[in-house]
Amino acid sequence: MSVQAVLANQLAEVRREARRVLESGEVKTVLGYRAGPTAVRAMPALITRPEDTDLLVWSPACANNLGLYVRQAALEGKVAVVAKGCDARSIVMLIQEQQIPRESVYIIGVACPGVVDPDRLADAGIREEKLTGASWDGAEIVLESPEGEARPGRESIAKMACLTCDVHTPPLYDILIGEAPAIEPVDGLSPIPEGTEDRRAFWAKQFDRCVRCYACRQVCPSCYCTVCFADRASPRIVSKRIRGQENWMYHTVRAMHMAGRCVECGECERVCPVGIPLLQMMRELGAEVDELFAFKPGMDPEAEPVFGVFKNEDEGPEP
Amino acid sequence: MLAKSDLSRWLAALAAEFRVVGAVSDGGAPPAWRKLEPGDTPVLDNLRWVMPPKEQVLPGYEPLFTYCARKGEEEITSAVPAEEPTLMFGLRPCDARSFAVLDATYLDGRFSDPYYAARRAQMTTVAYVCESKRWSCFCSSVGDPVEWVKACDLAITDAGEDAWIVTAFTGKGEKLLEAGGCMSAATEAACASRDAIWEDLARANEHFDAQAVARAVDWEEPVWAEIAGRCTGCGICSYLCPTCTCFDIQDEECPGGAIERYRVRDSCQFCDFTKMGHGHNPRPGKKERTRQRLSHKFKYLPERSGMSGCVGCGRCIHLCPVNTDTRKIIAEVMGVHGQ
Repeated sequence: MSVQAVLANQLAEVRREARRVLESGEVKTVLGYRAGPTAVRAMPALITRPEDTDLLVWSPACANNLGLYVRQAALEGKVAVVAKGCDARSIVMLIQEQQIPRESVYIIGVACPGVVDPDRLADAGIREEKLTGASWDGAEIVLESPEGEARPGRESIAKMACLTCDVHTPPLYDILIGEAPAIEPVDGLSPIPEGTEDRRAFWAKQFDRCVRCYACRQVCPSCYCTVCFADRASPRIVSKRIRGQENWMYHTVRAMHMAGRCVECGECERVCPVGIPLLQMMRELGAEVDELFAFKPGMDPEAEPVFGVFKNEDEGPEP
Repeated sequence: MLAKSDLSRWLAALAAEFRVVGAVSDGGAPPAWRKLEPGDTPVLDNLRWVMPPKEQVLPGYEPLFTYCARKGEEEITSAVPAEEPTLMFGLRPCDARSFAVLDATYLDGRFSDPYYAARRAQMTTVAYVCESKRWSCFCSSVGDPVEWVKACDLAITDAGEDAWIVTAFTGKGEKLLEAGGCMSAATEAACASRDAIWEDLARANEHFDAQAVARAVDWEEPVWAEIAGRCTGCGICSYLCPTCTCFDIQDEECPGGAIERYRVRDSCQFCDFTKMGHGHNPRPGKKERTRQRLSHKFKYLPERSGMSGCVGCGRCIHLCPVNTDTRKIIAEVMGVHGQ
C-alpha cells in the first residue's frame, strides 16, 4: 500500500469516528483540522454538523495544538478532539489541573510521526505553493507535487518540537488511529549557550526583537488565565513598553508559570513571528522539573500537578 | 543600470547624505528594517518575508514626553524626534504603499502627529520591484502595485544575473542615481526585462476587486463567526501588518522620579482593546474583533480616504497561527466562495 493510501485510510477512519460521535449525539463539537491555504498548512476546525466531517483532514500539515480550544468547547457540551501526542498531553494537563472533567472529552487519538514547519520548508528552498500534499513514510515526511514525491529529510523540515518529541502516541485516547514508528528524539538542537553570561547575552538578543504580539501565549493550551498578568492594568505587573528588558520580564514570568505545566508542543516557537526559540526555554525548565520532582506534565490524568498540590510533609521554609 | 557588484559602493555613497535603512537579517531572525552599517547587505530577494517597515515611523514603543515635578518646579520634556534625511532602501511595492496608508491616519490634513511627521518628513523611498511573488501575496487585488512603485523616488528592478535597472521618478530620485558614479546606461535588454517584470507585477494574482469589497462587507456574514472559532486572539495580523496604526498610551514612573508618557503598539484583536473603564466592551468577542479589523481595511478606510487600507503584502496570511487566509474571507464575504 502506498504511503498516501495509508494516510487516506487513517483520514477515512478519523472522519468516520467524528461523524459517528456527532450523529449519535455523544458529542456536541468535533475539534479537528481542515484544509488551509497550502498543502502544508491546515486550519483548526470546529465542527458541529455530521455532514461537515467530510471537511476534516489529517496529514503532516496539522501543526496546531487543538488542546487550545477544549476548555471553551467543553462549556457547550462534550467535545471530541482529533489529538496528536501533544494535543492529548494538553488535554491530560487540563484534566490534571481540573479545568475539564475526563468525561467531557472524547479523544480520537492519532499517532503522529511529526508535522511540517512551512518556514523551515522555505529555508530548505522548497516552495510550499507547489506542493499538492504531504504524508508519512515511517518517520519520514513525504512531500507531493506534480513533479513527484520528495523526502527532504525530517530533520530539516519538521516542526522543531517534533524532532525532540518522545510522545508520538497520545498518552490518553478513546480510540487510536494509526501506529507511530519508533523515533529517537534528536539531541543537541538547543541554540542556548552554556554559561550564565553567554546565556544572558543570548536571551537579551532574542527578547530585544519580541514585538509583544502575545501569539506565544494565545496559542498555548496551558495559558488559560482569565486575565493574564501581562494585561493587568491595576496593578501593573509588567510594563507595556515593547522593549528588551520589559519583554524579558514578560517571557520570564510566563516561563515560570509554565514550569511543570508545559507539554512541549512547541506551538509558541512555531508561531513566533520573530523566531524566538521559546520551546528551548520550556524544555530546559521541563528538564529541571522532571529531575527535581520526577514529573512530566500531561501524561497521566490521575497524576497531581506538581505545583498544584500541597502536602503536609512538603519541606518548606522555616516559619 | 547598476552592476550588482557595485551595490555596496552605491550604498556607501548614499550613506554620506542619508541615514540609509534597509531590511537586514541578524542571526537568522526575520529581516528587520534598521540603519545599514558598512558591510551590511540589505535583503532584496523575495524568498523570505521581512518585518514591516512601519517600525521606522511608528516604533512599537515610543516615549512621548517626560514630566518632572520637584520643589514646586514642573518640567515637561518633549520626546519628538529630530528630523533626519532617511532613505528607505529596497521597499517592496506593498511596503512602499503602506506609508501612504499610514499618512492617511497620521497626516490626514486636519491633524498631524508630530512624532510620525518628524520621521516621515525627510524620507526618500527606493522600491525594489518583485520579480516573483510569494504564495501569500495579493497586492494586485487591492490596487495597482506599479503605480505604487512609481510613487517612490526610485525603483530597482532585476535585469539579469549581474545588474539591476534603476529608474528614477522624481528629482530626488535623479540625484540618487548620481551618487558615487555607479550607474551605467541601461541596455535595451535591461529595459525589456524591467517592463516584463512590471507587467507581471500588475496582473500576477487578482483575487478580488477591492472597491466591490467595500460595498459588500456585511456584518452578519456567517464567515465572521467561523474565523472567530479558530482565531487565537493574538496580535500577529495587526502587529505585522504594514498599515495597522493602533497604539495604547501609558504613564510610568522612571528611575529618578520622572513620569514618562509613552505609546506602544496595540491591537484591535486583543480582548481589552475596546474595554471601557466601566466594564462595557462594545467588541466583546473574537467575532466582533476579527470583523472590525477587516472592515477597517476594506470598508472604513476606503470610505474615509478613498484608498484600500490593505496593501496585499500577505503577512497576515503567511504568519497567522491558525492559517486563516484573508483572501478567502474576502471572497466569502463577497459571496464568491469557491471561485
